[in-house]
Amino acid sequence: MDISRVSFPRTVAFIPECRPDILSPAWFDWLKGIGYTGVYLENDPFQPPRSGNASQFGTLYRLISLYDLAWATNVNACGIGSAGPANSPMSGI
Amino acid sequence: MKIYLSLWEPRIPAEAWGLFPVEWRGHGGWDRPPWNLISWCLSVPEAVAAFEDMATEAFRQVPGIDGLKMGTHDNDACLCNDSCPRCKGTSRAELTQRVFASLIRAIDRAGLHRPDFEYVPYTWWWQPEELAALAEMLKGRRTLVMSRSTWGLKQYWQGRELGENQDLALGLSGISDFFRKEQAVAKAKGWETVDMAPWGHSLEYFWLPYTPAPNRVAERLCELHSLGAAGWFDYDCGGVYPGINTEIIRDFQAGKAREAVELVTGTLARLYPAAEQAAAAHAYALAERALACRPVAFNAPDVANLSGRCTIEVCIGLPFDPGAISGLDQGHRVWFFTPANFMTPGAIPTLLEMYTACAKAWAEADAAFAGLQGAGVWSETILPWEKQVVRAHLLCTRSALRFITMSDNRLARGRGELSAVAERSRLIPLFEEELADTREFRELWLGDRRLLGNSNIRLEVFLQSCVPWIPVDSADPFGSKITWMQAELARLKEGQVWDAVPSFNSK
Repeated sequence: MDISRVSFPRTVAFIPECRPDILSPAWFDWLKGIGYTGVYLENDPFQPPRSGNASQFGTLYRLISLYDLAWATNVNACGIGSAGPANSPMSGI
Repeated sequence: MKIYLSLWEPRIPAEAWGLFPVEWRGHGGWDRPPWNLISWCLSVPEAVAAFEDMATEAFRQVPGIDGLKMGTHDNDACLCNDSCPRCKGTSRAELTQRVFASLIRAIDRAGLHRPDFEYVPYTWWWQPEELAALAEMLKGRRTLVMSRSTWGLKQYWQGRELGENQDLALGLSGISDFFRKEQAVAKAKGWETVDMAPWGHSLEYFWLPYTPAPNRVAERLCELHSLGAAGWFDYDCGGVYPGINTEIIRDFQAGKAREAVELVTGTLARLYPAAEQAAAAHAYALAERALACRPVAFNAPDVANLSGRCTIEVCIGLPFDPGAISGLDQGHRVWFFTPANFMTPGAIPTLLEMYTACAKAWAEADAAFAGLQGAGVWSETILPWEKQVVRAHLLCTRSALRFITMSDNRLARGRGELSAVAERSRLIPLFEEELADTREFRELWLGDRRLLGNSNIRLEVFLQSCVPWIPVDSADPFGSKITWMQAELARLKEGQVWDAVPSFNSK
């Protein structure tokens, strides 16, 4: 579908499963075929879960935060940011 | 395709709180005094400076993104409330303004801003004055206001009002006043408005992928379009799956119809042969009837925000233990979605009514879908998946109904209306039926894990947190449930009861 001509100009998808292989060219093509114009990233499907110490948040997937992008100890290991290539959804963006 | 980054700020992941001065911590959040869940108090100048440094550094790492979706109230982020000695007396609008002022300064310092960069304030738990307060700082920046068109819609059940929807719903029709008010604010400022759309995992079936509901999807698309909305962002616990809802979206985006009935009729005509279209329309109507029986806007007097937390369909993964039922909403102590939290005297009668009707409707829908053949690619690849989704709804709804029934029995014992022996005699067939459905569901889930899960919360860990006294195998939680319930069933059949508590009568 030509997404410059769709009925709604702002249709932004969310990753339905928090798994790295979801972010494939085939998935993006499928979204475009439906008429989606964008994707937003909220949880990091590449990150291992981290328990934290605050009640139910230990059961969540890893919410991307400014802290993680800027300062977290796993910045280099996971390739988020300028330190490295890699396997983060943010890399190369 | 544009790429947006979603933010919940101001926040620090919980495991990093100790890396910052405790004095910078805010006072507020979802829990209770001493209000210690907030990462930053933006009345502390040093904290504001550190927050802006952090945000600037973070934005420098993602120079190519096309926009930021920014929420302030959920997922570990929240503003201070009046219990904060520094923020006391400061309006919510002012506090929201401070967060955005910091974020925008950081965006500019990092060089992220460009003329087509999109700023998406997400107004979840906001009031219109908080949105209006951002006008000056967003002047000259492309702004999309993200609101919720189903937040605040009312649900009725057998002629009585159940309450207002406090999260997202697919089965409720109409556009909420909340959305309309925010759209008016946005329009006055020259901003666009987008909805947060519950196509997948809405609160009626949070753990299930979607309900096939072509008419509800078509109605919402047409209404949003007629109101001049620019579109939507998928639900941030949801997303879209292959299925009829997505086909409706595809046809609407392609401009095939602007009226709901015409849109649905046209889509069904594309997916089903002429001789089958009436049967398909009937099957979807049954699924939509089942959707309407979910208590999405039911707010029982003795449960806090049941509407925003009711995820009882996950019971299919839970070992059934009457000992988990207290009759009280225990809030966040274990997990605020824990189904046992909803099993209260004020909730159970309505839940029994609604889930009984819901299970009946899903059984009828399941039978109606079984005979559909479809046409073309739809027939070969997507319809079989959609039939599995319908089957999953049926199994999960029956399981939820049994969990509620088990809870009703347990509280009846507490009231002195049921003996331990009578409870046991009711539990035996209930456990046998639950085990049969769990075995079927386990096979479905092992074949396709999309049938129960969520992109925000890890299912296996969630299940374990609901029943910390029963070991749950993260690779096969349904196997753990079956093993545990089989053992308990054997004990019950041997004539044992769960306990020796005598009957009390509080009257």
